[in-house]
Amino acid sequence: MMKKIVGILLCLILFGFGNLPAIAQQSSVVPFPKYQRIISLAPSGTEILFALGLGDQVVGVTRYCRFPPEAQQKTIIGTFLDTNFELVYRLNPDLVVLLNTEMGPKLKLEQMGFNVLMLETNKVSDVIEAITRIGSYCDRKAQATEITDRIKERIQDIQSKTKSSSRPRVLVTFARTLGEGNINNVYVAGTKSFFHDIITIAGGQNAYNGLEAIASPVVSAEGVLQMNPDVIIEVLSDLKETNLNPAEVIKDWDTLPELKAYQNKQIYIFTDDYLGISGPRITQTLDRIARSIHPEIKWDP
Amino acid sequence: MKIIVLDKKNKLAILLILLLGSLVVIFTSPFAGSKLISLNNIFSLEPGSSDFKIFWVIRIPRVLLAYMVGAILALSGMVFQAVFRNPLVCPFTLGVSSGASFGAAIYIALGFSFTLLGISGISFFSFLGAVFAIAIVWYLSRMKQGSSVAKMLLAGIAVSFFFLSIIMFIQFISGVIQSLRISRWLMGGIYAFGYDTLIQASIIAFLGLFIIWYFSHDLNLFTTGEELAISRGVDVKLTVTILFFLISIMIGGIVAICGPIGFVGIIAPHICRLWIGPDHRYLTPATFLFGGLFLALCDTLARSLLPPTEIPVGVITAILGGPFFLWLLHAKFSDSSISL
Repeated sequence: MMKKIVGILLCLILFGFGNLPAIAQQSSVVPFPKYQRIISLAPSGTEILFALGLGDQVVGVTRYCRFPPEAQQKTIIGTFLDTNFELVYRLNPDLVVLLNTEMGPKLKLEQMGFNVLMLETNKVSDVIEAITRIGSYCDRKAQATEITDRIKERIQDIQSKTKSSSRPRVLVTFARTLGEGNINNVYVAGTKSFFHDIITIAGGQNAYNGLEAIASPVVSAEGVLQMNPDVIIEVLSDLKETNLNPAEVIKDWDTLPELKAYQNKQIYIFTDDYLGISGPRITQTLDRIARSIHPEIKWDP
Repeated sequence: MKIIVLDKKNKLAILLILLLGSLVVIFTSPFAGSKLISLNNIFSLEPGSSDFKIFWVIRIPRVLLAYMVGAILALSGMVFQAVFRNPLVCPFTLGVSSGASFGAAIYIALGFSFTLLGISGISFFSFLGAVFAIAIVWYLSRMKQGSSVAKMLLAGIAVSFFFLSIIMFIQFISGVIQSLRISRWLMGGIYAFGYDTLIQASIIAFLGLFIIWYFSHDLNLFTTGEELAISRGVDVKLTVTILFFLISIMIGGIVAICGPIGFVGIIAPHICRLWIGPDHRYLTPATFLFGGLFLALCDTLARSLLPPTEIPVGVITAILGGPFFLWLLHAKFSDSSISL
């Protein structure tokens, strides 16, 4: 009896669970020249598709896909968390683009028999790779090369300009207690985050250097004082959804005048949408962050 | 299993140990954290330096706040367990915490941001939510004649579930960042900057201790049974109503300050009951001291283990307290020591 149970368990482990990561790594797309009905389940995917001139072929996007503005004219199928699969099914896509963090929808979409293209966008190099991949799958190789060349050029330009400068310690935050005159519950960019890579390319170093295992670290005033960053960049894209403005929110830092960033007057609050989206507008993000970290360098206007 | 009956001297000794333990925790904890600050340094710190701020403005009030919050949570759990004669009741069973969380979720989802008379907007909203939940539970349990105590308990649980589903719905419709902030709030956490919140919490804590001590004789009668309490001249309905309201409002205030912190309120009274016995004259101060000591210790670990981040304190309370309680239950369990 015991042997049987152990045997069954072993089979389960070998064939059942063992297969899951394998499924996760492969994309089920067979290269096929022209996709005519594309659904994007991520804002970055949508931006890449439109930038490659595939806007007409896109039939469905998420609620968060606000750029380019035309994207919101497409059918909205919810978000990756609350995807309306019935709607997806009715749109009958021949390609669905989603991020590799969105495993739930992926399995369901494959069960429904759709082609799924997974994109990884954790690093700047991933974004370049993602653009190249969509370009080659959808017969837009030339456009893809043009966009990726522009990104690479921008990276080189920034790196050559910041080469001889010091590497300030930069803290990037995404959310915190806002407008209440204190600094608490600060979500900062972890060591495996997209912004960790952006900071590094833009000529700085991430002020947070805690455990890698914590994907979105949260710190309090004590933690911020301890890290004592030279520059603080707050990416608060959802600030527009509150009744606050950047001028009010930045006042919260008056409670921590001990910080170097405060004394250097290098605390920035950015609310633009593109900063959080790892798509073709990554050049703007890099530019913005590099200029904030290195105000001493002469940048082209 | 043998039941050891403690005499008065032993009980006073336990209280003394708890008091000394509390003093040790309170005086040593501020030195620990994302970075150790040494004793020699604290008086030579310059007022403008980061360490000065961390030590005097953040850590000291925070340790004391954690102590007060732990004390109140544990005390309220003790009272509710006695009044409802049920070992599974905690300060949050009657819907206070879910009501407070509901208030906080609305505040975050609607994107409000304000402070009112030095009290942050989110605290204000969650306190309103708590009071709202208390009012509903009280009203429901009074509508018809009957055993108000059991009815109150059931009404509280139903109200809790109702509010929690609304919170889930709010999270479902709000943006990613809002959703993240709501879940973070639901984890609870101690945070102090300066001494304002500490003063608020201390007033609540000592007021609570005084009120509960005043009722400790009634609580002893309660635990032996409602009928006996009535026959000894306790106005059960009035006492239950007073305790329910006062303590719920206290808990509402505490949850508004630091979110729902689990485990302390349900387990700390049991640990003390197993240790010092069910007599509320001794149990009340023991629970106050132990709850405070325990949460102050947990919060220190929460902010020291993975610097510069902080682990939600509720995670530490259950991981640390769970096995300890199970050990105690296994080693000292007997029906008469666990029964209330």
